[in-house]
Amino acid sequence: MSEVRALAARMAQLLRERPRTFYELLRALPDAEYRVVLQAWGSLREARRLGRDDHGLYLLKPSS
Amino acid sequence: MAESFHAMLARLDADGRLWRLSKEVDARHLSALVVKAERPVLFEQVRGFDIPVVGGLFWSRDRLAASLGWPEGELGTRFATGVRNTIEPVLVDDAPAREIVRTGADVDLTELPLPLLAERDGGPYISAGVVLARSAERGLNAGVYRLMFRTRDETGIDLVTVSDLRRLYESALARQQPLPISVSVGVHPIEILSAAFKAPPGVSEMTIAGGLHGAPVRLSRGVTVDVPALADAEIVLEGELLPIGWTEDEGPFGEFAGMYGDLKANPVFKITAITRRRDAVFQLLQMPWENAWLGAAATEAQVWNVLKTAGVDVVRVAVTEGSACRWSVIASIRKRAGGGKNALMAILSLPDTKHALVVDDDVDIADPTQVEWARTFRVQADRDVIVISGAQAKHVDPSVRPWELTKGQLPLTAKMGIDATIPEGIPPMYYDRIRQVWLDDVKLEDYR
Repeated sequence: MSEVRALAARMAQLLRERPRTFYELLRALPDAEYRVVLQAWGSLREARRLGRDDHGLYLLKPSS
Repeated sequence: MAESFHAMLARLDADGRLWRLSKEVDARHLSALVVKAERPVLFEQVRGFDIPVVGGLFWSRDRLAASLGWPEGELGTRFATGVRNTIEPVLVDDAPAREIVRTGADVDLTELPLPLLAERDGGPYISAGVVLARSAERGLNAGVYRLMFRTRDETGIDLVTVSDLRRLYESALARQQPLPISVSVGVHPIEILSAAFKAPPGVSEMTIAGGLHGAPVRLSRGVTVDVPALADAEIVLEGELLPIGWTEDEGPFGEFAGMYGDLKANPVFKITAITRRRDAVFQLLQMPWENAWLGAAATEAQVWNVLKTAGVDVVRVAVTEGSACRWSVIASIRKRAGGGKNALMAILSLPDTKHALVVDDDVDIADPTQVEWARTFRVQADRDVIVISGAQAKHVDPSVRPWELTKGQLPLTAKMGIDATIPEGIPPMYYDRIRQVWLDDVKLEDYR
């Protein structure tokens, strides 16, 4: 699970820098195993951290 | 017994129509490889997953026809026959789709190699799922809906467009109750194209699939919901559409018309069980052509039926690929005086048809050059082109400017029909095609 948590943190950092598509996020994480990407993405969604801008790009919402 | 998806794959493999790719593949590359491959691909090893993936089965007319086991030219007529000869599904206990069952906390979508299909997609999608729901009016309702990965036990589902499932969901939502559904992934093309068909009122899509198979579709009772699933599916998801309305982000998604649909607010599918075959294969249905070609058979069948009803002596019907296999239709007919215009009016009465072209039966509608020849030399634009304004349209067509619509307002479109049959009053002899001398007597082999 630590691998998933670490990747979720990297994803959060990337989204904090600027809004991105899922594809841009994936391209920025070439070393991550695809299944772990799915797991980390799911964990961000469960934590309700994922928002969208007007163009449909993902952005990071403040943690509640 | 109706052919299963698994048996269909084995048939294609035996016929040399499937590329078995044994080298390990990163799931990131599935979409691109499917698009670049010359045949449908069976990815035997996807890194990090123990489930193979198959994609590109319906990428073209010939691939769809091969998957169905039908002649290419008979997609519409075969489908029309199946619609007339429905067979009720049967409930069975020996369901391969239930060989492995995960429920509750063991439900984990990330065990499936969910692919990211297009650059601007809102995430990985399941695009080949046949959704079943119970309807008081028409029994078992079936449709094909895209599912966007959210969490290990949640997906988004696109319910923006008017559909039977949307009506069922609205009814459940009004009672503040979830709507139980099943999603069967990896089903025979007959079942997925029947599910995508707008069946007449009172007719279940799975009875049409039975008619097309010539045998009943096999259903399996739900494990956690009171909705069956396709017993021979590769993978089944069960669960509920939560009574939260259109509240959660879903999309964008590269759609069947070849363009992106916008970010939408949609309901959420909460998964309570994932079941599958021991040797399950995940089907990747690649946009736009796999989805577009799935609609072709139903569209061509509708055109056949409406032309027959209008008393037109129809010879062949074909959708055009560039119109997403739906918006533009070509028909060849044996014409009586005025028959070209009558045929156009009949075809354009169908809700999805935006452009129609009618030719005589001496023109091979599978040959674009012949069709263009007829359109060039048999058409006077001021006499033979019909334009109808203010007809029913779809949001996915940008030329209807959907962004200018107010909330709840439906788009309208202009329709066009071109009568490229030999005009009345012109003797057919003027269209005699040139024929080279001694064509039947001279053989190239004699001079090699």
